[in-house]
Order: sequence, then structure tokens, then C-alpha cells
Amino acid sequence: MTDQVSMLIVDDEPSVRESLKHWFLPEGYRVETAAEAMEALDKLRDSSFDIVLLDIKMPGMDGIELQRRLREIDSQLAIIIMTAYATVDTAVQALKQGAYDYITKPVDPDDLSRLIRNAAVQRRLLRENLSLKEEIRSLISVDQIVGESRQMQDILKLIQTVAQTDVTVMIQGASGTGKELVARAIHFNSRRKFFPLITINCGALTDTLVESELFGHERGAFTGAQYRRKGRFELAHKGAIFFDEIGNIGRKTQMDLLRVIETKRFTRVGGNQVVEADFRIVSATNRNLEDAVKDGTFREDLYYRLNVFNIQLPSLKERASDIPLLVNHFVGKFATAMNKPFTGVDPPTMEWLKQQPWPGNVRELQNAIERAVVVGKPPLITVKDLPCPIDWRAPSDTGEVLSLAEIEKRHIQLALNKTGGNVSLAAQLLEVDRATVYNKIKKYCLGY
Amino acid sequence: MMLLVTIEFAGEHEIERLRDQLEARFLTKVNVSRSDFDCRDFLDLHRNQYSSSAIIERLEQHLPAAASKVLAVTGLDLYIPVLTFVFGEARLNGRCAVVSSYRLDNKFYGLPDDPALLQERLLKEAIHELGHTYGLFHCHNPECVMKSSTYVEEIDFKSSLFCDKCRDELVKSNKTN
Repeated sequence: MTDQVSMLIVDDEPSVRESLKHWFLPEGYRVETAAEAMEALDKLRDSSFDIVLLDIKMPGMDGIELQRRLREIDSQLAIIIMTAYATVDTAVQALKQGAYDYITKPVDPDDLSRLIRNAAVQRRLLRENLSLKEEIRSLISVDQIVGESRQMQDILKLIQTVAQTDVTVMIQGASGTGKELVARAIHFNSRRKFFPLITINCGALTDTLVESELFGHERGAFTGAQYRRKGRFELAHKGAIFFDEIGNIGRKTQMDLLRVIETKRFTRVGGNQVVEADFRIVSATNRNLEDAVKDGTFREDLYYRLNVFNIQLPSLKERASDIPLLVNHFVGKFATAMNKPFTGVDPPTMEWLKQQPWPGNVRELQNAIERAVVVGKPPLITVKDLPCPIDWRAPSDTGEVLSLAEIEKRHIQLALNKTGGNVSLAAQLLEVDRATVYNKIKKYCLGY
Repeated sequence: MMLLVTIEFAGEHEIERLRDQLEARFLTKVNVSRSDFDCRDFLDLHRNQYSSSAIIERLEQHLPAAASKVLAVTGLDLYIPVLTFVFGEARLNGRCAVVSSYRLDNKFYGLPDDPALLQERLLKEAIHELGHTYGLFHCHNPECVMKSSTYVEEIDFKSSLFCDKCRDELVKSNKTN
């Protein structure tokens, strides 16, 4: 979209139209003129304009009526009414109908220049605002949560349902299952989407810092408080606040939080003024909070306040059928970001990826693919491009803690298997010399 | 060749000086002639001002073939219908422009006469309007002569020189013409 300001001058007087046109052309504006209402409407239908300079007295249709009709075509148009004899009535009428401003002819050149510049800036800001809103809409739509499994389809429906309400949501799921993504999807599909989503990592909040962090502070509230500072609750006004890892907050913070959730009112540290903020709360945890309530480390009343609407995210293992979709999504994403012509993974690698336990869930899968895109050779990712540790992780998935020697033994065996028993290649893979590999083969009685 | 046409402009010494200055700036010969226009044709009796657009139209009707640009210099108070006044007017990428000394003169503002300042302002406005005829738009550089000026203090603030960008544009325009 061009930055050139476009202007339509509507006046039945040719000398007015032409002189204004010649006055504005040197500004670099695109200027068109219309001698009567129908011509103006036709021009606006054919082409877009930022500003319309409109004479209030026109044959056939007066400026106020024409303004209304022009607005029906483009509601964002900056219309400036020109009148020879300004009366309070006409001015009020024009402004009530949504005119940007009105001028009384003749007008001081400086006033007109400033008025047009301001109208152009306002129009540009409106356009930017609309395009940013569009960008926000596309930034995180529910469609961007990848998954065709029944579990994920159910979750997408839940997100769409709950997003339309102001209900407090708790998202539970293991690490790496996409809790924050779901929280963002809820916010950016809600009516609060154009207001901030403030994220608080509860794991990083200490009881000593929490008050000023959440509630803000007044100047001089404590040593080092040189300025008044807004807290997270205040910053989230009209938007939402996302408490990540809510299970990690201390007892004192739990109490503070409970009070604010109930009243949505608080005072800044060192202040007396009660601040009211309107925000929605979304929280997430990978802990079993019911157990935490039972053992007394998490307040029961707070738990019920936060857990009004619960979303349980499945582990990647539980939705393994989504793995190919996720893998292709991540390959596409990182290939584009790194400008590498990857088209996917080879079929044996995909099978292998589907069989892995992925204790780190989607995040771990994403990291594995990112690494593979970095080290691999296009067009297909193969097993050897994937990070090694995930290959031998399976036995420990049972909860068994292996000795270092056992891990070393299994890892060397893996290298030998991969190289078809070629010790030199295995030594290269392991980044040790051949003698070391022979010694380890002897030590662990490995077959090759 | 550029032509300076005087319309109700009394300062013979000023017009000669302006001619020399424009010759030096635009590196072209500048001739001076006095118009025989009947100024009543441009007069709005109600406003007691003269239409700059009407003057330009008349200039366009009487263009000498040899003149690449024609600049009218007048002592009359100029206007266009929607504005209270204009210092001058030009046809963008055209051949004609007009400037008025009426509101460039300190006497108009009740201030002591300052012929040197008047000459400086007249030069800046003449170069500015001629710049438009070469296709130059208003410039955002506050010191560039192509910066738009809607009151005299703004004219005084800017210089009579083109900024680098406008100078390049002018050179390009000269080459294509």
C-alpha cells in the first residue's frame, strides 16, 4: 500500500476545485476533483481516498447528505467540510455526522495545511491500526495449534468455547505440551484480544518481589523505588493475565492472589489509592494441584477460584497420531526460517519419530526438528540428523536410573549399529579415536 | 531561456537583481519583460485581491515559444478562492508560475522597511515556485528552499538553496526536459 495521501475535492465552483488541486499537488498528494455529488460518489466507489474536502452547499445534494453517503462507502474517510458562512448549526451537524473538521472559506493557508496533515496522519494511524488488528487475528488463530487427533480436536473446541467468555481457565499438562500456546489462543480469540496478555512466570516470583511486581509501587515506597511503577495486574487492564507454572507460587503470594481475584481491587505498594483493574485470569501448571491441595502446599480456596474451567492437555505420546503432522509443520517452519529447501523427513525416520516416547513432548520434538534442519542436508531429514540422546532415552523412560557405564555401553553399541559395525565410522560419530572404541568394545563385550 | 514577467511590480532594481540571481542559480539566460495584462481581469472586488490561478492561466495563453519557464513577479496581493492569500502559485511540471512581493514586504506587517530582506524572500519564493515547474514537491528538510512556507517567518527560516535530494531531482528533471 502506497504512503501517498489521496484527496478528493468536491465543489461545484471550478475555480475552487482547480486552485485547491494546484495548491495540493506540490505536496505530493494524489488529488482528484468532483463537481457534483454523484461524481464524488462514483469516484469514491472507483478509487480509495484518504481525505475529502467537501463544500457544504452543492446543487442537488447538500454537503451533509453527501457526507453521509460517502461514509456509507468508506466509514474511515476523513471528511473536511468547507463552508462560506459557518453557522453553529451546520458545524455541529457536520461534526455529528462524523466529519473530521470544518473550515470557513477563506481559510489561512497555514491552518489548512495543518488540518490536512493531521487528517492524513489520523487516516494513516487508522489504517495501521486496522492492519495491526488483522495481524493480531492471524498471529494466533486456533488453526495454528497443530493436531488432528481426537484429543486435540476436543481441545480446540474447548478453546473456542471458553474464549468467548470471561471465565477463569486453568490449563494442565506436562512440560512442553503447549500450555502457553493454548493460553495465547484463548486470549487472542476473545473479545479482550486487542488489550494486553500479561504473562507471569510464577517460578521466577519470590515472595519478597511479588507484591511490587504484581501490584506496582508508589515513588519512595522502598529504597530504590524512584518512580511510580504499574504492576502486572494494572498492565493487564481490559486484557488478560497468564500465570505460568501457578503451582510454584509461595503461600504468601497465594493469599495476595486470592484477594485480588475476588475483588479485582488492590493498592500499589506504599500507596493508599485503591486501583481497580478488569482482567481475565488464565493459569497453567504441570503439577497435580489436587495433590498439592491435599498435602497443604496449595490453598484449596485459590485452587477452586483458578480452576473454574479446566483444560487438560495430552502428552505427545497420548496423541502420537499427530506426530507426522507436527513434524511436517516444524520442518516447514524451520526450513523457511533458515532458508533451507527441506521438504520433510524420510519414511523410516518418520516411523522412528512416531515410536519415540518424547517425555519433553511437543517442545522436545520441535527442538529435535530444529536441530535436524540446522545440521541436515536437504531435501529430507534422516535419523542421523536428529539429536542422539533421544535414541537411547527409552530404557530410562521406565523411571530406571542408569549408571554412566551402562549409558556409555549402550551409546557405543548404538554407534556401532548405525555404522554397520564399522569401528572407524563409529569412532568418528563418537568423536573419539579408534583405539578408544576398540578398548570400550573389549571392556563392555560389545558385538559388532 | 527563462522569462521574468512583471505585473504591477514597481521595483526595477529588485527585478534586475532577481534576474541575475536566477541566472546564477538555474544556469540559464533570464530575460525580463513587462506584461500588458489588464489586472482588473484578475481582481476579486469583494476581497480586493488578485487570483493567482487566473494570472497563471493568462500566462499559459501567452507563452513565448523560446521561454522554457515563465515567472510572473507582481506587487499585487494574490489569493486562491479557499485561502486567505498565497505568496505564489505554480503549475507542477508546467512552465508558468507567479510570485507576489505584497506579503513578503515588512511594511505589510507594520515593520520597518528592509529591502535586503524583501529581496531575499522574493528570491526564495521565486526559486520555490520555479522548482515546482521542474516537478519538485514540497520538501521536509526545514532548510531546503522547497519547504512549504505559509507565513513569512517560515520563508526566513529556510535557505534559498535546494537540499541534496531536491537538487538531484532538479538535475534529473533538467536532463529529461
